[in-house]
Amino acid sequence: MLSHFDDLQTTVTLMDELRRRMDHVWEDFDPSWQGTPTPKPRTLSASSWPRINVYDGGAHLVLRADVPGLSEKDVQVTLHEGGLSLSGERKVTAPEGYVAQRQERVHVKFSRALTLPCKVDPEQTCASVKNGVLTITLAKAPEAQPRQITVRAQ
Amino acid sequence: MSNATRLSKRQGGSAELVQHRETITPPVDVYDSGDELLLIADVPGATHDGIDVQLEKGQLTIHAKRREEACGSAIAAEYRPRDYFRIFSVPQGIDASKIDAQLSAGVLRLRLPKSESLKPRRIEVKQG
Repeated sequence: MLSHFDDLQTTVTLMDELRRRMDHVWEDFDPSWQGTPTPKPRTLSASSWPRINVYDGGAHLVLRADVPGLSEKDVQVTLHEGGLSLSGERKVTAPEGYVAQRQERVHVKFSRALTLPCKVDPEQTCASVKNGVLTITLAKAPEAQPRQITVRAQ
Repeated sequence: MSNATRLSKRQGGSAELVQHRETITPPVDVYDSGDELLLIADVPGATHDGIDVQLEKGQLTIHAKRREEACGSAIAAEYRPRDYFRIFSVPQGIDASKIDAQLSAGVLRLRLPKSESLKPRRIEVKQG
């Protein structure tokens, strides 16, 4: 699931980030968003799905993303110099013999790239999907790990 | 966003404690096969024991609790893990005892079988 990639993907990452922000720019200003029981029509593009949270756990970086309906083999995770990218496809099709009355879940071919805040050890990385949530644990490189400094009395 | 507020009696005290958990509206697909309705909802992070589905007075309520262990402090967040809550009005004639719910990979599937009176019927045209 993980592979190396040497490259100049920083530019791509920035472009992706800009695109993602533009996708959400109106959400904060839309008054109909408040208190309505039904979500507005989804216009999520491949650049904003899935949404990602990044946590700092001391010696590890943890990435979480909601990928309902997907399993480990549906998500490709690529680690490259200074960054990480996720790609795959989530299919939403009407079951055989059923007619769709309402479709809010998105069918999306996604590709997201992000810059990591510190160096990580590519050998100690694991990714899993549980209950539709992708969790990627990245061990920080030794030089990026927090260090305890002992204060000595003189 | 909607809010689910729950009231519970406080032990020994006079006032009631208000437990407040924010909820979000999950995206839902609805399909009809003629014999049954099928609801599919995205509820990533929810587990079997945290899901509560009720049908009362023609209203189907879906409440799913999200449970995830903390893994450090957030340094970048595009979403907030929240519980899920949604209400649907369902037509009369859905048999509440036959509703079947399945959860897999964060996707909830609800089958609502229709009673005979609700199923589409073909009317034969007789020759006069």
